[in-house]
Amino acid sequence: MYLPTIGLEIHVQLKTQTKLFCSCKNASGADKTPNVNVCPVCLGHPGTLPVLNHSAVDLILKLGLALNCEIPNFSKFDRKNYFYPDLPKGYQISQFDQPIAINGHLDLLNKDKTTKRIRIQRLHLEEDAGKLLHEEGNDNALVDFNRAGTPLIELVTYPDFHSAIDVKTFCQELQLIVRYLDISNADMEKGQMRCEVNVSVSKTDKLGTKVEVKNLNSFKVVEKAVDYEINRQSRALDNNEVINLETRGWDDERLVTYSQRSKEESHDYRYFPEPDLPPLKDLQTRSQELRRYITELPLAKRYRFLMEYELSYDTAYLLTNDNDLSNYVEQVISELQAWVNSTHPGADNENWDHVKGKLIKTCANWLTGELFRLLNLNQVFLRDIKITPENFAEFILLIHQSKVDTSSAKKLLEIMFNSGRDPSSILEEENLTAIDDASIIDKYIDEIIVANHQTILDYKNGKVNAINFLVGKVMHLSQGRIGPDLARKKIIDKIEISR
Amino acid sequence: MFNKEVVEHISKLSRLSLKDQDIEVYTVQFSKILDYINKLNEVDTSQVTPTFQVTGLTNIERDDILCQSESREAFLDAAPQKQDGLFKVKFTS
Ligand SMILES: [Zn+2]
Repeated sequence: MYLPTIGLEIHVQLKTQTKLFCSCKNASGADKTPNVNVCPVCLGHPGTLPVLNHSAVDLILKLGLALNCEIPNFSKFDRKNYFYPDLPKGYQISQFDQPIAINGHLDLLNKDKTTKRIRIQRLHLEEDAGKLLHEEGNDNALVDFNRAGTPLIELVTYPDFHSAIDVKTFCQELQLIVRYLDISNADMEKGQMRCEVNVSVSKTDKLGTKVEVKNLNSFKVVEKAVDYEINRQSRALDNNEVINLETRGWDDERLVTYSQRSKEESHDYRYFPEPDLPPLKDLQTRSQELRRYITELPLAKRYRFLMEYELSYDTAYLLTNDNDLSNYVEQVISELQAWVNSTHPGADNENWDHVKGKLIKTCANWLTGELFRLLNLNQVFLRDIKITPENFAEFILLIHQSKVDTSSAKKLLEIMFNSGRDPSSILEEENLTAIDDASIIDKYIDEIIVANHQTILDYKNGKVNAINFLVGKVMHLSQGRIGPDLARKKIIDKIEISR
Repeated sequence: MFNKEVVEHISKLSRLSLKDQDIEVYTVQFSKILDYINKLNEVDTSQVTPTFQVTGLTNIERDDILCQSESREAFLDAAPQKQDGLFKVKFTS
């Protein structure tokens, strides 16, 4: 068995208003007309001077803090030289030997609540290139410079991965963190987050030859490409073939990696310090001031959801995968807690502790089930939802107190979803309240039994399924205000008594 | 030390295609230029700290505020070739 060793290089497009070194709009790919967001600086006209975007520095410092990095006090920019038509100046302004953040880590939460640590080597700022439109065989290419000069963070990990699934999980976790911190939308399909993986396999402590795989534009593809490379390299070594140090691309049609000619054969980028940009000093003090903007991160939140809310790993994961969602959940739960405390004024949360497990579970089920279904069906984002957390909490309490049965609850939630009205008033107006008056329930049951004499006989003669027909009739007659379980029980009781 | 291979490598990095006879001429010329520049190595710099900035400025940053530039037509017109609002260039891989 070969042990795979994998390291990552990830580029994240920053959500600033303007580009990294000029005041042109940073449209993050949303600009459909080419060359609208350009100026002499990002077009590389002679005699122009780049000036660093303050927000971009703040954003990378925030990510550095979130990823437990050291922030060196001093940092500078360097020129990375290469010729390519999408690079107007003939060099990219990047950072070589003194990046803004170094030596960090990101912990991944395992199912058994232990964590796996991935070390991060560095984070640096650099500008993006333009977009090249080129047809195979054509001597000419067309260039759109809207993206040229937009800010990117490059993140480099240590080769701490040994499986494709961990690589995928890391990428997803990083996406979540940059979204939590509002650094980037990090949509991989839109190129706002780009992953390159370095894969090698070996049977010994000595690492094998590493192969770089690029153009991975979804989490699924990252995972597939890593798995493919591990298998390809292992098979090659089994056949006594040599692994070439090379860059490969991913072919999404054939699901294979393929050898690519490297842009710069020997990676001879001739870095040198950027003379046009004064260096950055006192970054430690600056990062300390930014620390208060680092909100609770996904890992901590997941852990809290597991422990405090007693949710399962999968549910905790699902509910914390989106900042809007986890905030909504917390607001609903705090409303539930407020209600329990106000109606059961016991000693210090005693009653809340008693019922919270059940209430939160009901809440999580309805959220991830019916509410998600309604959101998807209507193409609505959670942040635009009409149901306030207070109303959703009230809805959960109505179910908890059996004031509404499951099928009516679905109807109720849909009305809440469409109107934003509070559930109690809908229940009254729409006549959805579960009937709890035994005499009224009996009246409905009797009516159905009298009207369906033949079905009753069928049931008595052993056709057990006939009961479902009667249950349906009761629910229909009561407009869903008598739930199926109660109806079934009542009907059977009546029939047995009459035997 | 400045041989033909180095000139070929540099020409490749610069995307310049050189004829064989040019390469020979440049090999000689490059060597002479480098020898001349190398005179700087004779200066004792042991007491001098390396510098890449002469202004003494630090932390020069601008606020993240949008400022749209002139019309795109002006930029496109300044380029040798354009097509459909795009810059047309020779493709070099
Ligand atoms: Zn610009």
